Amino acid sequence: MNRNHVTATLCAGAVGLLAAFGSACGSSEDTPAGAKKLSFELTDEGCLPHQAKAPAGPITFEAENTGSSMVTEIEVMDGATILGEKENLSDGLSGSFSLTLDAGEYTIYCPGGDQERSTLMVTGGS
Amino acid sequence: MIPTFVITLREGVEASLIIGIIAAFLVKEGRRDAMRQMWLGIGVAVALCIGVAVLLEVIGRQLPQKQQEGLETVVGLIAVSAVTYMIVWMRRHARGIKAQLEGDAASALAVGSTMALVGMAFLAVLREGFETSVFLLAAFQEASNTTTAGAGSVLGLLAAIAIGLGLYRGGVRINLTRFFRLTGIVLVFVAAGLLASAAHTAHEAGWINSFQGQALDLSWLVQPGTISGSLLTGMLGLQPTPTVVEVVVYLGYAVPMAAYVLWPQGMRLRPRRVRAGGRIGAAQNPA
Repeated sequence: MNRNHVTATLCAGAVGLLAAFGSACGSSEDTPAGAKKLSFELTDEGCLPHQAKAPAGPITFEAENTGSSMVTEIEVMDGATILGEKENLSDGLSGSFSLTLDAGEYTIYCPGGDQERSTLMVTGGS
Repeated sequence: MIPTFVITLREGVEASLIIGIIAAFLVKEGRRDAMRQMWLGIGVAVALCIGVAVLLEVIGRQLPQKQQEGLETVVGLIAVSAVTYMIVWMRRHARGIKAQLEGDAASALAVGSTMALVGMAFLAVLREGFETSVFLLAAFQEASNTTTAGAGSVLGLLAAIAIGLGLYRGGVRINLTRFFRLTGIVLVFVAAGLLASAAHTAHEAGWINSFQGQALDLSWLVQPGTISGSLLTGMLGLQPTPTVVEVVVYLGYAVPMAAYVLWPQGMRLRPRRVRAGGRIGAAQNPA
């Protein structure tokens, strides 16, 4: 079996994947102008604050781990559906993602914490 | 050091495990030549992952999590079929070589299958590689104590590699039939775990949103933030609180496949054969 063929196949696959990721990033959720910012702290107790409020519309979620080894992940959920998340945030790391949310009650889910679920109330119409 | 250690260990151990088994399998099958291609595939995958992580860092973007989870799901499913293929192949092959002398290098692995395994090694690295590379960069730059965080993450990765290497060494040493039997069982649990984690990532990718209720509480066993917990998640796909979907696909795969692997060989197919092959037969014949 010729090695060149293998190399070519691997490289083609690699380039294809890079392109796929590039386009995914290009269309990705960059912080929209005028987005409301919500900051969360990942602690052993869970994600703080446990109660958050925001107006309907674009929201940027900023999460920072301030010293927890148990909680390294934050998810925004609507019922059982994960709308956005950030994983592998160990002590000192931070990350953000943006979502556009309608009015309603959402769950901030931080697996591993003492209180894993907290509430996000989104109010009003935009 | 521990928090970053357990993350890279968890992310790395699965790929390491798959590669270790593939490598041992190739050597056992007398396809040592394919090892170079396998390493090439792994090298390209690692370079690709680091490249993407650095690129994202330079242009100041975050890894798109949804797409990443989607990728993990797709690759996970491909891995399940590849591993299933290996299990079935080994099972059949183990039956075949019973009649033959070992070391006869029985039915050599077809070229297509070899390439599929090489491709699998490539995909195994790619699966968690993007996330791990991004995490490594972050650990070295942003962590509250970059020295311990960086050291922890590198050590976690090395520990993951050591596990795969150990498996490979052990796999090469033991005899073929036992290798097939043992890896067969290990592979069933690895594949079932892959299927469960594919269900997990499919939920995070937004593809599966039903049956997400918590089925079990395994947090006493799979403790978040501990080494044992990350090994159980990384190697066997166990989550601290698995959902209904995860448990159903796990058992739905593991139970029949384990039965298939453990079922006494050739039980109904043929009467028990005199052990003609192997050293026992050879030693007895002259007497």
